Amino acid sequence: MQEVVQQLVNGISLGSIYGLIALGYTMVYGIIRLINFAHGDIYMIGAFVGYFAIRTFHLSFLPALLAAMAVSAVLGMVIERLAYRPLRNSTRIAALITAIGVSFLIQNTALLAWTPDPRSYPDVFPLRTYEIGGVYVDNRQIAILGVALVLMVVLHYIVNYTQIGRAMRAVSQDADTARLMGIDVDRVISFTFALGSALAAAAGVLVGIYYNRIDPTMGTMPGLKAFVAAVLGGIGVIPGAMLGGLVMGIAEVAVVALTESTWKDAVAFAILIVILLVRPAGLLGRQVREKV
Amino acid sequence: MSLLEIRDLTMQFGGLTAVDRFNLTLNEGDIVGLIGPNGAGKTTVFNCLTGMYAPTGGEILLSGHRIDGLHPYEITRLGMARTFQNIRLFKQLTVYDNIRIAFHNQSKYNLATAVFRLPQFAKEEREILEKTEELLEIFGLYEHRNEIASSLPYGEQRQLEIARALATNPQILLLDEPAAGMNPQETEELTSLIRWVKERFDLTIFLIEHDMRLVMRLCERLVVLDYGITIAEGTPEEIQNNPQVIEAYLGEEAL
Amino acid sequence: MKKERILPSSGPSLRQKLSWLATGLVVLILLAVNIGVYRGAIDFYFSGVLVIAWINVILAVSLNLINGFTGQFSLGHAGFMAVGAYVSGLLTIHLDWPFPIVLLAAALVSALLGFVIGLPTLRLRGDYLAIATLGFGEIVRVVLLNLDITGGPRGLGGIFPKTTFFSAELVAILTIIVIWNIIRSSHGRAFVAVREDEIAAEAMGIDTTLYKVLAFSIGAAFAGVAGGLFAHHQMFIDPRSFTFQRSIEILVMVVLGGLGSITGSIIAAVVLTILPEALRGMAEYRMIVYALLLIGLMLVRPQGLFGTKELGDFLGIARVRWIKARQPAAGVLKSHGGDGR
Repeated sequence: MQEVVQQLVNGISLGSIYGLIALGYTMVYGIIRLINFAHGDIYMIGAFVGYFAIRTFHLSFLPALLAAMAVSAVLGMVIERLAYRPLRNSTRIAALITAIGVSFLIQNTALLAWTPDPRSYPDVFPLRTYEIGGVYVDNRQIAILGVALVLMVVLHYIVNYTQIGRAMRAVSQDADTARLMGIDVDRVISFTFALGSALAAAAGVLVGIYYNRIDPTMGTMPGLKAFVAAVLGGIGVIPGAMLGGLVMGIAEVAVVALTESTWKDAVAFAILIVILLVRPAGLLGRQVREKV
Repeated sequence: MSLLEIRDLTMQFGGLTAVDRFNLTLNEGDIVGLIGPNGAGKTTVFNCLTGMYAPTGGEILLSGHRIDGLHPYEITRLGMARTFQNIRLFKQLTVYDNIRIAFHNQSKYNLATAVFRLPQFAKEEREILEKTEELLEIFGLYEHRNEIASSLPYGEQRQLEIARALATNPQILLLDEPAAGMNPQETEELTSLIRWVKERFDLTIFLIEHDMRLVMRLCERLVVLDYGITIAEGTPEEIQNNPQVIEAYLGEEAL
Repeated sequence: MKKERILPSSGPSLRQKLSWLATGLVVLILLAVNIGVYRGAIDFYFSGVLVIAWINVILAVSLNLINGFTGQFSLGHAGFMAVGAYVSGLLTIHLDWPFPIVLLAAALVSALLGFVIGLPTLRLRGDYLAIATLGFGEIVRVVLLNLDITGGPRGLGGIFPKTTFFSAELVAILTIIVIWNIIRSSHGRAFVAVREDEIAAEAMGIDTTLYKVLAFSIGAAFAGVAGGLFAHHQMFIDPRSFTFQRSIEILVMVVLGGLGSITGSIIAAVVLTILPEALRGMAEYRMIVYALLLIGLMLVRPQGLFGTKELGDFLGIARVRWIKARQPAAGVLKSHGGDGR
């Protein structure tokens, strides 16, 4: 029983990281129907920015986190402006190919600049482990949970209670009508990219602190898994991304606990294929039928 | 035996009943029109007939065989072809290829025959080529054969779509608003084209149309649908004078 | 009447002349390369690069059948290649079957897997299918990492070097012919119809599910063969050779050449294999160049270099003319022409 709770705690920690990344996928997909393949690499950039902020500029945890989020937000907006906006009226496949290209570009540039060797993340807070009824929770897990929770609440507030949030929802319903209603669609899309990228960057910093190890290819797998989480929860549905992330995190931890850890990367994709076949709209999504 | 028999065809989407117990019998050589206000469920009837939707109730029999629930391609092979309300050509392909694709089921050779270019391949391909050119000539599209379908003028796209449907060698042709977006003169031409094609290819025709002049001139029988329910059936004259139909079209206050 | 469109142009255009010239040049180079390899004038290293070029031609042309002609977006080609590589490698190591039989077996197993994966997956469209196939490719890699018989992460060594320049060339040419003949047939038109409009294709009597699975299986079969050639060229394979990156490299070739152009795929595969080798210093920039190529292409020329055009279009050889078409008959069917139009 203790073991189960312990794994649950680990799973939730991992899951909230997937959830944070998945939010970016789901918002961007919801608004321009693009799988932003480069999202995982923005997460990686976030981790590296945090790393340099702490190591080179000697910032403490929170300022470093905010710096990483700010830099990634700008990066996300730049990518959207340069690579995706010109393609907004072309086919979705063309946009997807571009996104794959952007992902490769970021990753390989990072490989060149920072070498493929993993770096160990600077210690911002010394590890402390607490025992509660035989279950171990450390302060890093608490930080992950805390930051994830705060960010999700902030996001919820922005999307539901601010003017820009209302504009985002309008654009995701129907961009053309939103434009007719006087909404600056380009600005809303830019803002969405900024928001999603900032959340991914936060996840990057948290992962760096939690696993104490970052490298330029670290974004690929979590990126793909977070995408699966977004699909699992129902792509375009914001609470779905959080739910999907948690389910994915717990499933992965369970597989590692029960079998060999090398199988863990297969879990995500098995879940993906099953969910796409059984309930393609995801857990919280609504099923739509194509008009003939 | 009637060619097409529709018994109590019902289509529900969630709680909405788009078509409610629709009945119709088509005999060989019939030309019947399906009319009704927008949203009456006309296209839904077509979609059920051609397998685009699986009806939630009732039966559809083509030459005595149940076809409801079959895939669209199976129904096409059994001899029912259609056109679409919002023209669905293969837009990026040439006029020529649009027609050639529709002869798909009339080529019987398998993949190996194609890979090894056996004599049967050349023979059937030549037949398809000849039939394609024949159809293109009939519809006056021969000189446009190498043009991209989407570059054709609207009226000719409609014609190409009918030609393509005919290439599948149907017994029954379903036309979904063939005159939509045409001017009176084009509609006039279309009317005689449909009549000519019907004789030439020995067809039974079932069509949806809003243009009353075309419907009245062309159809022997009309069915009127309103909110998924059949409110009238009869000759064009009978329908024209039916108070229920007038009400459905013009609303109560017009009476 | 748009008469000007049907008037035949007088003589070959400049572009046609240049295309003939280029084609002649390519044929000469190909001939020279063959003689060079046969005589041993081309060194061992570079003939190895040429083998990889042929393997990439097979991969690109077969992926084009799926992505370009049938319009299904697969990102799992490296997965099928991996299956072919391992199946053929194991057969050679343990059973020592003749090479052609081994390649055939690799094709069969990959095709079967393509069929099994394809049947449920192909209900998905566009970007969802892309992600599902990507997932499939990753699952294949993880399975290969975990099985004992494949050697896990240590890889599979000791595969006899049976792939030569000439066997790779032969298989590549056979692949091109087979896929070309399929495309230029009623079945090929069905693939294209699925790409253009699935609903209209169904209405034309085409079993779209069948053709999607067929495209997937045929594409997978050839990817399997390419994997087999690869395994017997490298003599050692491990799961790292078949990552998602490999799938993307093949995709770049197809997209660069033109989705729906076999000519384009062949040229792109050869160029993208040889170019990085020719510019040695570029090796570490290769993936960056690939990435910029992808983005730039999508922004500037999303249809790729050749679009859906083939060599014949550039040389001025009409596509259907190999079958002697009759002259349009006058009069016979014009009875409608008077009253209708």
